[in-house]
Amino acid sequence: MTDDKIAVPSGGSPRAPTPGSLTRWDTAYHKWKLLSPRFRAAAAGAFVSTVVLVSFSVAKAGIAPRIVSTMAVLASLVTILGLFDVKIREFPSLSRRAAGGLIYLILVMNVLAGTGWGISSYHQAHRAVDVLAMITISRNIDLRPDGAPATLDAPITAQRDDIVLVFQAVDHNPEGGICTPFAEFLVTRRLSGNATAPVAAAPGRPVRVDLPRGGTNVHLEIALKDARQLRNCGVDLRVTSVKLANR
Amino acid sequence: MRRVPTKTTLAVVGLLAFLNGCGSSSAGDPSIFDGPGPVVVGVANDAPGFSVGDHNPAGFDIDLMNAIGRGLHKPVTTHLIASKDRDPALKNNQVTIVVDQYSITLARNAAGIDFAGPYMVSTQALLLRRDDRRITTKGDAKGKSVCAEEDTTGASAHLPGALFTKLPTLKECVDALLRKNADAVLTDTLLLYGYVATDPERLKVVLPGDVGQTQYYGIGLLGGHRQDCRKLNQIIRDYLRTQWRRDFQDTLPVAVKAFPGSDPGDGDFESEFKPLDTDMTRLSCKLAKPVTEQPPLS
Repeated sequence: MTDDKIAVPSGGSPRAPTPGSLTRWDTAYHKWKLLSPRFRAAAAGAFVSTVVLVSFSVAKAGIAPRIVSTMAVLASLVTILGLFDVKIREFPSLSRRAAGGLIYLILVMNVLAGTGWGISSYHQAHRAVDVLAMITISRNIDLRPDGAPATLDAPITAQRDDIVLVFQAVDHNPEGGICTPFAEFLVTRRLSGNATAPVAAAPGRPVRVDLPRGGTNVHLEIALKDARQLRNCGVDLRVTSVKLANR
Repeated sequence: MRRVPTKTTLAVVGLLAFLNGCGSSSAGDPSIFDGPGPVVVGVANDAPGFSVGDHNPAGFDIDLMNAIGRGLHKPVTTHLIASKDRDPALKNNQVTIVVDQYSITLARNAAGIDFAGPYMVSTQALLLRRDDRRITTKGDAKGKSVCAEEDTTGASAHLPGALFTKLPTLKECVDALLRKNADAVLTDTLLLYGYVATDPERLKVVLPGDVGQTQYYGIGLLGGHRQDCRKLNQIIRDYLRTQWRRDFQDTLPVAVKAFPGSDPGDGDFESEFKPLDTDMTRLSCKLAKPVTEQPPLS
Protein backbone atom coordinates (compact mmCIF):
# COMPACT_ATOMS: atom_id res chain seq x y z
CA MET A 1 0.00 0.00 0.00
CA THR A 2 1.42 3.37 -0.99
CA ASP A 3 1.37 6.59 1.02
CA ASP A 4 -0.84 8.28 -1.58
CA LYS A 5 -3.50 5.63 -1.17
CA ILE A 6 -3.56 6.22 2.54
CA ALA A 7 -3.80 9.97 2.13
CA VAL A 8 -6.67 10.21 -0.39
CA PRO A 9 -9.83 10.15 1.63
CA SER A 10 -12.70 8.19 0.22
CA GLY A 11 -16.28 8.83 1.37
CA GLY A 12 -15.37 11.84 3.48
CA SER A 13 -13.13 10.25 6.16
CA PRO A 14 -9.73 8.67 5.93
CA ARG A 15 -9.41 4.97 6.43
CA ALA A 16 -8.18 3.64 9.71
CA PRO A 17 -4.40 3.55 9.79
CA THR A 18 -2.75 0.32 8.93
CA PRO A 19 0.55 -0.78 10.33
CA GLY A 20 2.33 0.42 7.17
CA SER A 21 0.92 3.91 7.40
CA LEU A 22 1.41 4.62 11.09
CA THR A 23 4.37 6.88 10.46
CA ARG A 24 2.38 9.13 8.09
CA TRP A 25 -0.56 9.31 10.51
CA ASP A 26 1.77 10.04 13.37
CA THR A 27 3.30 12.81 11.32
CA ALA A 28 -0.10 14.27 10.46
CA TYR A 29 -1.18 14.12 14.09
CA HIS A 30 2.08 15.74 15.10
CA LYS A 31 1.55 18.52 12.57
CA TRP A 32 -2.00 19.01 13.82
CA LYS A 33 -0.77 19.30 17.38
CA LEU A 34 1.77 21.88 16.30
CA LEU A 35 -0.99 24.19 15.10
CA SER A 36 -2.13 26.90 17.47
CA PRO A 37 -5.34 26.10 19.40
CA ARG A 38 -7.16 29.00 17.70
CA PHE A 39 -6.19 27.74 14.25
CA ARG A 40 -7.29 24.20 15.12
CA ALA A 41 -10.63 25.50 16.40
CA ALA A 42 -11.12 27.49 13.19
CA ALA A 43 -10.33 24.46 11.03
CA ALA A 44 -12.62 22.18 13.00
CA GLY A 45 -15.36 24.84 13.00
CA ALA A 46 -15.09 25.33 9.26
CA PHE A 47 -15.39 21.61 8.62
CA VAL A 48 -18.24 21.00 11.06
CA SER A 49 -20.25 24.02 9.90
CA THR A 50 -19.78 22.92 6.30
CA VAL A 51 -21.03 19.45 7.10
CA VAL A 52 -24.04 20.88 8.96
CA LEU A 53 -24.93 23.21 6.08
CA VAL A 54 -24.53 20.41 3.57
CA SER A 55 -26.79 18.15 5.62
CA PHE A 56 -29.46 20.83 5.73
CA SER A 57 -29.15 21.59 2.05
CA VAL A 58 -29.46 17.92 1.12
CA ALA A 59 -32.50 17.57 3.36
CA LYS A 60 -34.35 20.77 2.48
CA ALA A 61 -32.91 23.01 -0.18
CA GLY A 62 -32.87 22.87 -3.97
CA ILE A 63 -30.17 21.96 -6.45
CA ALA A 64 -28.25 25.27 -6.34
CA PRO A 65 -27.50 25.22 -2.59
CA ARG A 66 -26.48 21.55 -2.92
CA ILE A 67 -23.92 22.36 -5.60
CA VAL A 68 -22.55 25.25 -3.54
CA SER A 69 -22.40 23.04 -0.43
CA THR A 70 -20.63 20.26 -2.30
CA MET A 71 -18.05 22.74 -3.50
CA ALA A 72 -17.61 23.92 0.09
CA VAL A 73 -17.00 20.31 1.18
CA LEU A 74 -14.41 19.87 -1.54
CA ALA A 75 -12.76 23.13 -0.49
CA SER A 76 -12.72 21.89 3.10
CA LEU A 77 -11.12 18.61 2.08
CA VAL A 78 -8.50 20.36 -0.01
CA THR A 79 -7.80 22.61 2.96
CA ILE A 80 -7.39 19.67 5.28
CA LEU A 81 -5.02 18.01 2.85
CA GLY A 82 -3.04 21.24 2.70
CA LEU A 83 -3.13 21.58 6.44
CA PHE A 84 -1.60 18.20 6.96
CA ASP A 85 0.80 18.72 4.11
CA VAL A 86 -0.52 15.70 2.23
CA LYS A 87 0.83 15.31 -1.29
CA ILE A 88 -1.45 13.99 -3.99
CA ARG A 89 0.04 13.26 -7.34
CA GLU A 90 -2.78 14.74 -9.47
CA PHE A 91 -3.28 17.92 -7.42
CA PRO A 92 -0.97 20.86 -6.82
CA SER A 93 0.17 21.14 -3.23
CA LEU A 94 -1.35 23.81 -1.01
CA SER A 95 0.83 25.89 1.23
CA ARG A 96 0.08 26.08 4.94
CA ARG A 97 -0.53 29.81 4.60
CA ALA A 98 -3.04 29.34 1.77
CA ALA A 99 -4.76 26.57 3.73
CA GLY A 100 -5.12 28.89 6.70
CA GLY A 101 -6.62 31.62 4.53
CA LEU A 102 -9.00 29.13 2.99
CA ILE A 103 -10.16 28.00 6.41
CA TYR A 104 -11.09 31.52 7.45
CA LEU A 105 -12.72 32.11 4.06
CA ILE A 106 -14.81 28.97 4.47
CA LEU A 107 -15.77 30.03 7.98
CA VAL A 108 -16.91 33.47 6.79
CA MET A 109 -18.80 31.93 3.85
CA ASN A 110 -20.49 29.44 6.14
CA VAL A 111 -21.54 32.15 8.57
CA LEU A 112 -22.92 34.20 5.67
CA ALA A 113 -24.65 31.18 4.17
CA GLY A 114 -26.10 30.17 7.53
CA THR A 115 -27.37 33.69 8.25
CA GLY A 116 -28.77 34.06 4.74
CA TRP A 117 -30.40 30.69 4.99
CA GLY A 118 -31.98 31.64 8.30
CA ILE A 119 -33.32 34.93 6.95
CA SER A 120 -34.54 33.23 3.81
CA SER A 121 -36.25 30.49 5.80
CA TYR A 122 -37.93 33.07 8.04
CA HIS A 123 -39.04 35.04 5.00
CA GLN A 124 -40.34 31.90 3.31
CA ALA A 125 -42.29 30.96 6.41
CA HIS A 126 -43.85 34.41 6.85
CA ARG A 127 -44.18 35.92 3.39
CA ALA A 128 -47.63 36.59 2.00
CA VAL A 129 -48.70 33.93 -0.49
CA ASP A 130 -50.81 35.13 -3.41
CA VAL A 131 -53.66 32.74 -4.18
CA LEU A 132 -55.83 35.05 -6.27
CA ALA A 133 -55.50 32.84 -9.34
CA MET A 134 -56.68 29.80 -7.36
CA ILE A 135 -59.92 31.13 -5.85
CA THR A 136 -63.44 30.12 -6.84
CA ILE A 137 -66.16 32.75 -6.47
CA SER A 138 -69.86 32.46 -7.12
CA ARG A 139 -73.10 34.49 -6.79
CA ASN A 140 -71.01 37.67 -6.93
CA ILE A 141 -73.01 39.41 -9.67
CA ASP A 142 -75.98 41.61 -8.72
CA LEU A 143 -75.36 41.07 -5.03
CA ARG A 144 -78.16 42.59 -2.96
CA PRO A 145 -78.42 43.54 0.70
CA ASP A 146 -81.41 41.27 1.20
CA GLY A 147 -80.19 38.51 -1.11
CA ALA A 148 -77.99 35.45 -0.82
CA PRO A 149 -74.32 36.15 -0.09
CA ALA A 150 -71.51 35.52 -2.57
CA THR A 151 -69.22 32.62 -1.76
CA LEU A 152 -65.46 32.44 -2.13
CA ASP A 153 -63.27 29.35 -1.77
CA ALA A 154 -59.51 29.62 -1.57
CA PRO A 155 -56.90 26.90 -1.08
CA ILE A 156 -54.58 27.21 1.92
CA THR A 157 -51.30 26.48 0.17
CA ALA A 158 -49.19 27.68 3.10
CA GLN A 159 -49.95 27.79 6.79
CA ARG A 160 -50.61 31.41 7.72
CA ASP A 161 -52.59 33.31 10.35
CA ASP A 162 -55.00 35.12 8.03
CA ILE A 163 -56.39 35.38 4.57
CA VAL A 164 -56.23 39.00 3.39
CA LEU A 165 -58.65 40.05 0.69
CA VAL A 166 -59.34 43.23 -1.26
CA PHE A 167 -62.77 43.64 -2.83
CA GLN A 168 -64.08 45.99 -5.43
CA ALA A 169 -67.71 47.03 -5.79
CA VAL A 170 -69.21 47.91 -9.16
CA ASP A 171 -72.73 49.18 -9.75
CA HIS A 172 -74.69 46.42 -11.45
CA ASN A 173 -76.96 48.97 -13.10
CA PRO A 174 -74.93 52.19 -13.41
CA GLU A 175 -77.67 53.98 -15.35
CA GLY A 176 -80.27 53.22 -12.68
CA GLY A 177 -78.68 54.88 -9.67
CA ILE A 178 -75.57 54.90 -7.56
CA CYS A 179 -74.74 52.33 -4.92
CA THR A 180 -71.02 51.71 -4.75
CA PRO A 181 -70.05 54.76 -2.65
CA PHE A 182 -72.18 53.26 0.11
CA ALA A 183 -71.33 49.59 -0.43
CA GLU A 184 -69.68 47.67 2.37
CA PHE A 185 -69.32 43.94 2.64
CA LEU A 186 -69.57 41.54 5.55
CA VAL A 187 -67.22 38.56 5.35
CA THR A 188 -67.98 35.39 7.28
CA ARG A 189 -65.79 32.26 7.38
CA ARG A 190 -67.63 28.99 7.50
CA LEU A 191 -66.09 25.77 8.77
CA SER A 192 -68.10 22.59 9.21
CA GLY A 193 -71.32 24.58 9.33
CA ASN A 194 -70.07 26.98 12.00
CA ALA A 195 -69.72 30.64 11.09
CA THR A 196 -67.34 33.16 12.56
CA ALA A 197 -68.42 36.68 13.46
CA PRO A 198 -68.71 38.74 10.26
CA VAL A 199 -65.89 41.12 9.45
CA ALA A 200 -66.71 44.41 7.70
CA ALA A 201 -64.84 45.10 4.47
CA ALA A 202 -64.80 48.40 2.64
CA PRO A 203 -64.14 48.16 -1.11
CA GLY A 204 -60.53 48.83 -2.02
CA ARG A 205 -59.24 48.22 1.50
CA PRO A 206 -57.70 44.97 2.72
CA VAL A 207 -59.73 42.87 5.13
CA ARG A 208 -58.23 40.09 7.27
CA VAL A 209 -60.05 36.91 8.16
CA ASP A 210 -58.34 34.42 10.45
CA LEU A 211 -57.57 30.99 9.04
CA PRO A 212 -58.18 27.63 10.69
CA ARG A 213 -55.10 25.68 11.80
CA GLY A 214 -54.29 22.76 9.58
CA GLY A 215 -56.99 23.47 7.00
CA THR A 216 -56.44 23.01 3.29
CA ASN A 217 -59.27 25.23 2.08
CA VAL A 218 -61.19 28.24 3.36
CA HIS A 219 -64.82 28.96 2.56
CA LEU A 220 -66.05 32.55 2.89
CA GLU A 221 -69.47 34.11 2.52
CA ILE A 222 -69.57 37.75 1.45
CA ALA A 223 -72.78 39.69 1.97
CA LEU A 224 -73.62 43.24 0.96
CA LYS A 225 -74.21 45.15 4.16
CA ASP A 226 -77.78 46.32 4.52
CA ALA A 227 -78.05 50.10 4.71
CA ARG A 228 -80.70 52.70 3.94
CA GLN A 229 -78.76 53.96 0.94
CA LEU A 230 -78.55 50.50 -0.59
CA ARG A 231 -82.25 49.78 -0.84
CA ASN A 232 -82.74 47.73 -4.02
CA CYS A 233 -79.11 48.18 -4.93
CA GLY A 234 -77.40 45.59 -7.07
CA VAL A 235 -73.63 45.45 -6.74
CA ASP A 236 -71.15 43.31 -8.61
CA LEU A 237 -68.45 42.04 -6.29
CA ARG A 238 -64.94 41.71 -7.68
CA VAL A 239 -61.89 40.39 -5.88
CA THR A 240 -58.64 42.16 -6.67
CA SER A 241 -56.29 40.52 -4.17
CA VAL A 242 -56.23 37.35 -2.06
CA LYS A 243 -53.18 36.54 0.04
CA LEU A 244 -52.36 34.21 2.87
CA ALA A 245 -50.39 36.22 5.41
CA ASN A 246 -49.23 36.32 8.99
CA ARG A 247 -50.17 39.17 11.31
CA MET B 1 -30.47 104.76 1.31
CA ARG B 2 -32.49 103.18 -1.44
CA ARG B 3 -31.63 99.60 -2.16
CA VAL B 4 -31.28 98.67 -5.77
CA PRO B 5 -32.49 95.13 -6.51
CA THR B 6 -29.62 92.88 -7.47
CA LYS B 7 -29.72 90.41 -10.33
CA THR B 8 -30.11 87.60 -7.82
CA THR B 9 -33.09 89.28 -6.18
CA LEU B 10 -34.70 89.85 -9.53
CA ALA B 11 -34.07 86.27 -10.52
CA VAL B 12 -35.64 84.96 -7.31
CA VAL B 13 -38.65 87.26 -7.71
CA GLY B 14 -39.01 86.16 -11.34
CA LEU B 15 -38.80 82.51 -10.37
CA LEU B 16 -41.40 82.94 -7.65
CA ALA B 17 -43.69 84.74 -10.08
CA PHE B 18 -43.21 81.93 -12.59
CA LEU B 19 -43.94 79.24 -10.00
CA ASN B 20 -46.95 81.16 -8.79
CA GLY B 21 -48.24 81.33 -12.35
CA CYS B 22 -47.69 77.60 -12.80
CA GLY B 23 -49.54 76.93 -9.56
CA SER B 24 -52.61 78.88 -10.47
CA SER B 25 -52.89 77.39 -13.92
CA SER B 26 -52.49 73.83 -12.68
CA ALA B 27 -54.99 74.43 -9.88
CA GLY B 28 -57.41 74.88 -12.42
CA ASP B 29 -60.00 75.46 -14.11
CA PRO B 30 -61.39 78.80 -15.15
CA SER B 31 -64.57 79.35 -13.16
CA ILE B 32 -67.84 78.68 -14.92
CA PHE B 33 -69.33 81.56 -12.94
CA ASP B 34 -66.82 84.17 -14.13
CA GLY B 35 -68.71 85.36 -17.22
CA PRO B 36 -70.35 88.80 -17.33
CA GLY B 37 -73.93 87.59 -17.69
CA PRO B 38 -76.20 85.73 -15.31
CA VAL B 39 -75.72 82.09 -14.37
CA VAL B 40 -77.90 80.10 -16.76
CA VAL B 41 -79.63 77.27 -14.90
CA GLY B 42 -81.22 74.35 -16.72
CA VAL B 43 -84.55 73.51 -15.09
CA ALA B 44 -87.65 71.47 -15.87
CA ASN B 45 -91.10 72.82 -16.53
CA ASP B 46 -93.02 69.59 -15.97
CA ALA B 47 -91.97 68.55 -12.46
CA PRO B 48 -94.68 69.58 -10.01
CA GLY B 49 -93.18 70.37 -6.63
CA PHE B 50 -89.73 70.94 -8.12
CA SER B 51 -90.11 73.15 -11.15
CA VAL B 52 -93.31 73.73 -13.04
CA GLY B 53 -94.45 76.43 -15.43
CA ASP B 54 -93.09 77.79 -18.69
CA HIS B 55 -92.78 81.33 -17.35
CA ASN B 56 -91.37 82.01 -13.92
CA PRO B 57 -91.33 78.33 -12.93
CA ALA B 58 -91.77 77.58 -9.24
CA GLY B 59 -90.90 74.73 -6.92
CA PHE B 60 -88.13 73.33 -4.74
CA ASP B 61 -85.50 73.40 -7.51
CA ILE B 62 -86.28 77.05 -8.19
CA ASP B 63 -85.94 77.91 -4.50
CA LEU B 64 -82.56 76.18 -4.47
CA MET B 65 -81.53 77.93 -7.68
CA ASN B 66 -82.27 81.30 -6.09
CA ALA B 67 -80.25 80.34 -3.01
CA ILE B 68 -77.34 79.48 -5.30
CA GLY B 69 -77.59 82.88 -6.98
CA ARG B 70 -77.49 84.57 -3.58
CA GLY B 71 -74.55 82.41 -2.53
CA LEU B 72 -72.61 83.25 -5.68
CA HIS B 73 -73.65 86.92 -5.61
CA LYS B 74 -74.67 86.53 -9.23
CA PRO B 75 -78.00 86.89 -11.03
CA VAL B 76 -79.52 83.62 -12.23
CA THR B 77 -81.79 82.89 -15.14
CA THR B 78 -83.69 79.73 -16.06
CA HIS B 79 -83.42 77.75 -19.26
CA LEU B 80 -86.11 75.10 -19.70
CA ILE B 81 -84.81 71.67 -20.70
CA ALA B 82 -86.22 68.18 -21.02
CA SER B 83 -84.61 65.45 -18.92
CA LYS B 84 -83.00 63.86 -21.97
CA ASP B 85 -81.35 67.18 -22.87
CA ARG B 86 -79.61 67.80 -19.54
CA ASP B 87 -76.26 66.26 -20.50
CA PRO B 88 -76.15 67.87 -23.99
CA ALA B 89 -77.19 71.28 -22.61
CA LEU B 90 -74.18 71.27 -20.28
CA LYS B 91 -71.79 69.97 -22.92
CA ASN B 92 -72.94 72.51 -25.51
CA ASN B 93 -72.67 75.33 -22.96
CA GLN B 94 -76.35 76.16 -23.30
CA VAL B 95 -76.57 76.16 -19.54
CA THR B 96 -74.01 76.76 -16.77
CA ILE B 97 -75.51 74.32 -14.27
CA VAL B 98 -78.52 72.02 -14.13
CA VAL B 99 -80.93 71.96 -11.16
CA ASP B 100 -83.49 69.47 -12.40
CA GLN B 101 -83.92 66.42 -10.13
CA TYR B 102 -80.70 65.30 -11.74
CA SER B 103 -79.67 61.97 -10.25
CA ILE B 104 -76.00 61.43 -9.49
CA THR B 105 -74.80 58.29 -11.28
CA LEU B 106 -71.43 56.87 -12.18
CA ALA B 107 -72.62 56.59 -15.77
CA ARG B 108 -73.11 60.37 -15.89
CA ASN B 109 -69.75 60.91 -14.20
CA ALA B 110 -68.21 58.72 -16.89
CA ALA B 111 -69.89 60.87 -19.52
CA GLY B 112 -68.18 63.97 -18.11
CA ILE B 113 -70.91 65.37 -15.85
CA ASP B 114 -69.89 66.24 -12.30
CA PHE B 115 -72.29 66.92 -9.46
CA ALA B 116 -72.43 69.15 -6.43
CA GLY B 117 -74.66 67.96 -3.62
CA PRO B 118 -76.81 65.97 -3.23
CA TYR B 119 -79.55 68.30 -2.05
CA MET B 120 -82.29 65.64 -2.04
CA VAL B 121 -82.61 61.88 -1.60
CA SER B 122 -85.53 60.03 -3.09
CA THR B 123 -86.49 56.42 -3.45
CA GLN B 124 -88.46 55.34 -6.50
CA ALA B 125 -92.06 54.22 -6.64
CA LEU B 126 -95.03 53.58 -8.91
CA LEU B 127 -97.77 56.05 -9.74
CA LEU B 128 -101.19 54.46 -10.25
CA ARG B 129 -104.67 55.62 -10.95
CA ARG B 130 -106.32 56.13 -7.57
CA ASP B 131 -108.99 53.49 -8.17
CA ASP B 132 -106.57 50.82 -9.39
CA ARG B 133 -105.92 48.20 -6.71
CA ARG B 134 -104.20 45.61 -8.88
CA ILE B 135 -100.63 46.48 -7.89
CA THR B 136 -99.94 46.17 -4.17
CA THR B 137 -96.65 44.25 -4.32
CA LYS B 138 -93.65 44.33 -6.61
CA GLY B 139 -94.67 41.00 -8.12
CA ASP B 140 -98.06 42.42 -9.17
CA ALA B 141 -96.27 44.52 -11.82
CA LYS B 142 -95.67 41.37 -13.85
CA GLY B 143 -97.44 41.71 -17.19
CA LYS B 144 -98.48 45.32 -16.49
CA SER B 145 -97.62 48.24 -18.74
CA VAL B 146 -95.19 50.55 -16.94
CA CYS B 147 -94.21 53.93 -18.39
CA ALA B 148 -90.91 55.68 -17.69
CA GLU B 149 -89.30 58.85 -18.99
CA GLU B 150 -86.52 58.38 -21.54
CA ASP B 151 -82.92 58.81 -20.41
CA THR B 152 -83.78 58.80 -16.73
CA THR B 153 -82.82 56.38 -13.98
CA GLY B 154 -86.44 55.20 -13.82
CA ALA B 155 -86.14 53.97 -17.39
CA SER B 156 -83.22 51.76 -16.32
CA ALA B 157 -84.96 50.28 -13.28
CA HIS B 158 -85.49 46.53 -13.10
CA LEU B 159 -89.06 45.46 -12.49
CA PRO B 160 -89.31 41.77 -13.34
CA GLY B 161 -92.07 40.91 -15.78
CA ALA B 162 -93.22 44.50 -16.33
CA LEU B 163 -93.72 45.75 -19.89
CA PHE B 164 -91.83 49.02 -20.11
CA THR B 165 -92.83 51.92 -22.33
CA LYS B 166 -90.48 54.88 -22.56
CA LEU B 167 -91.77 58.34 -23.47
CA PRO B 168 -89.89 61.65 -23.92
CA THR B 169 -91.34 63.38 -20.86
CA LEU B 170 -92.77 62.37 -17.49
CA LYS B 171 -95.90 64.37 -18.20
CA GLU B 172 -96.59 62.22 -21.26
CA CYS B 173 -96.28 59.13 -19.06
CA VAL B 174 -98.75 60.55 -16.52
CA ASP B 175 -101.14 61.49 -19.33
CA ALA B 176 -100.85 57.93 -20.71
CA LEU B 177 -101.65 56.57 -17.25
CA LEU B 178 -104.74 58.77 -16.89
CA ARG B 179 -105.90 57.78 -20.38
CA LYS B 180 -105.41 54.14 -19.34
CA ASN B 181 -102.73 53.62 -21.96
CA ALA B 182 -100.38 52.61 -19.15
CA ASP B 183 -100.94 50.79 -15.86
CA ALA B 184 -98.24 52.58 -13.89
CA VAL B 185 -95.51 55.19 -14.06
CA LEU B 186 -92.14 54.45 -12.53
CA THR B 187 -89.90 57.25 -11.36
CA ASP B 188 -88.67 59.00 -8.22
CA THR B 189 -91.10 58.97 -5.28
CA LEU B 190 -90.85 62.72 -4.74
CA LEU B 191 -91.66 63.49 -8.36
CA LEU B 192 -94.69 61.23 -8.11
CA TYR B 193 -95.83 62.97 -4.92
CA GLY B 194 -95.59 66.20 -6.89
CA TYR B 195 -97.96 64.80 -9.50
CA VAL B 196 -100.32 63.50 -6.84
CA ALA B 197 -100.47 67.03 -5.40
CA THR B 198 -101.74 68.29 -8.76
CA ASP B 199 -104.45 65.65 -9.06
CA PRO B 200 -105.05 63.87 -5.73
CA GLU B 201 -108.48 62.61 -6.77
CA ARG B 202 -107.11 60.53 -9.63
CA LEU B 203 -103.52 59.57 -8.69
CA LYS B 204 -101.71 57.71 -5.91
CA VAL B 205 -98.20 56.54 -5.12
CA VAL B 206 -97.52 52.90 -4.22
CA LEU B 207 -94.47 50.85 -3.23
CA PRO B 208 -92.13 53.75 -2.37
CA GLY B 209 -88.67 52.30 -1.94
CA ASP B 210 -89.71 48.84 -3.15
CA VAL B 211 -88.96 49.44 -6.82
CA GLY B 212 -86.00 51.08 -8.52
CA GLN B 213 -83.10 52.50 -6.53
CA THR B 214 -82.49 55.37 -4.17
CA GLN B 215 -81.69 58.55 -6.10
CA TYR B 216 -79.49 61.43 -5.03
CA TYR B 217 -80.28 64.74 -6.73
CA GLY B 218 -77.24 66.83 -7.45
CA ILE B 219 -76.50 70.06 -9.24
CA GLY B 220 -74.98 69.12 -12.58
CA LEU B 221 -71.99 70.90 -14.05
CA LEU B 222 -69.29 70.01 -16.51
CA GLY B 223 -66.42 67.98 -15.09
CA GLY B 224 -63.09 69.69 -14.49
CA HIS B 225 -64.43 72.57 -12.38
CA ARG B 226 -63.78 71.26 -8.93
CA GLN B 227 -63.40 74.65 -7.28
CA ASP B 228 -66.81 75.71 -8.58
CA CYS B 229 -68.23 72.37 -7.50
CA ARG B 230 -66.91 72.83 -3.97
CA LYS B 231 -68.29 76.35 -3.90
CA LEU B 232 -71.72 74.97 -4.80
CA ASN B 233 -71.34 72.31 -2.10
CA GLN B 234 -70.80 75.00 0.51
CA ILE B 235 -73.90 76.84 -0.66
CA ILE B 236 -75.90 73.59 -0.53
CA ARG B 237 -74.62 72.87 3.00
CA ASP B 238 -75.82 76.27 4.14
CA TYR B 239 -79.11 75.73 2.36
CA LEU B 240 -79.64 72.32 3.98
CA ARG B 241 -79.00 73.85 7.38
CA THR B 242 -81.12 76.97 7.07
CA GLN B 243 -83.75 76.66 4.37
CA TRP B 244 -84.22 73.09 3.20
CA ARG B 245 -86.93 72.03 5.67
CA ARG B 246 -89.10 75.09 5.14
CA ASP B 247 -88.87 74.94 1.34
CA PHE B 248 -89.68 71.22 1.38
CA GLN B 249 -92.81 71.79 3.47
CA ASP B 250 -93.90 74.59 1.13
CA THR B 251 -93.34 72.79 -2.17
CA LEU B 252 -93.86 69.07 -1.46
CA PRO B 253 -96.78 68.89 0.99
CA VAL B 254 -97.91 65.41 -0.10
CA ALA B 255 -94.50 63.97 0.75
CA VAL B 256 -94.63 65.71 4.14
CA LYS B 257 -98.02 64.13 4.75
CA ALA B 258 -96.80 60.70 3.66
CA PHE B 259 -94.00 60.72 6.24
CA PRO B 260 -95.61 62.00 9.42
CA GLY B 261 -92.89 60.84 11.83
CA SER B 262 -92.43 62.83 14.99
CA ASP B 263 -89.03 64.33 14.23
CA PRO B 264 -86.14 64.24 11.74
CA GLY B 265 -84.73 61.16 13.42
CA ASP B 266 -87.96 59.22 13.55
CA GLY B 267 -89.63 58.69 10.21
CA ASP B 268 -90.52 62.21 9.21
CA PHE B 269 -89.91 63.56 5.72
CA GLU B 270 -86.53 64.96 6.69
CA SER B 271 -85.19 61.57 7.76
CA GLU B 272 -86.39 60.14 4.44
CA PHE B 273 -85.43 62.82 1.92
CA LYS B 274 -82.73 65.05 3.36
CA PRO B 275 -79.19 64.04 2.46
CA LEU B 276 -76.50 63.48 5.06
CA ASP B 277 -73.20 65.30 5.03
CA THR B 278 -71.49 61.98 4.32
CA ASP B 279 -73.56 61.66 1.13
CA MET B 280 -71.92 64.83 -0.13
CA THR B 281 -68.47 63.53 0.71
CA ARG B 282 -69.07 60.29 -1.13
CA LEU B 283 -70.89 61.52 -4.20
CA SER B 284 -69.89 65.02 -5.19
CA CYS B 285 -67.10 66.75 -7.11
CA LYS B 286 -65.49 63.60 -8.48
CA LEU B 287 -64.13 64.92 -11.75
CA ALA B 288 -60.89 66.84 -11.35
CA LYS B 289 -60.48 67.01 -15.11
CA PRO B 290 -62.94 67.23 -17.96
CA VAL B 291 -63.79 63.92 -19.56
CA THR B 292 -62.82 64.30 -23.20
CA GLU B 293 -63.69 60.87 -24.47
CA GLN B 294 -66.81 59.12 -23.46
CA PRO B 295 -65.98 55.58 -22.39
CA PRO B 296 -68.35 52.84 -23.45
CA LEU B 297 -70.95 52.14 -20.81
CA SER B 298 -71.67 48.57 -19.93
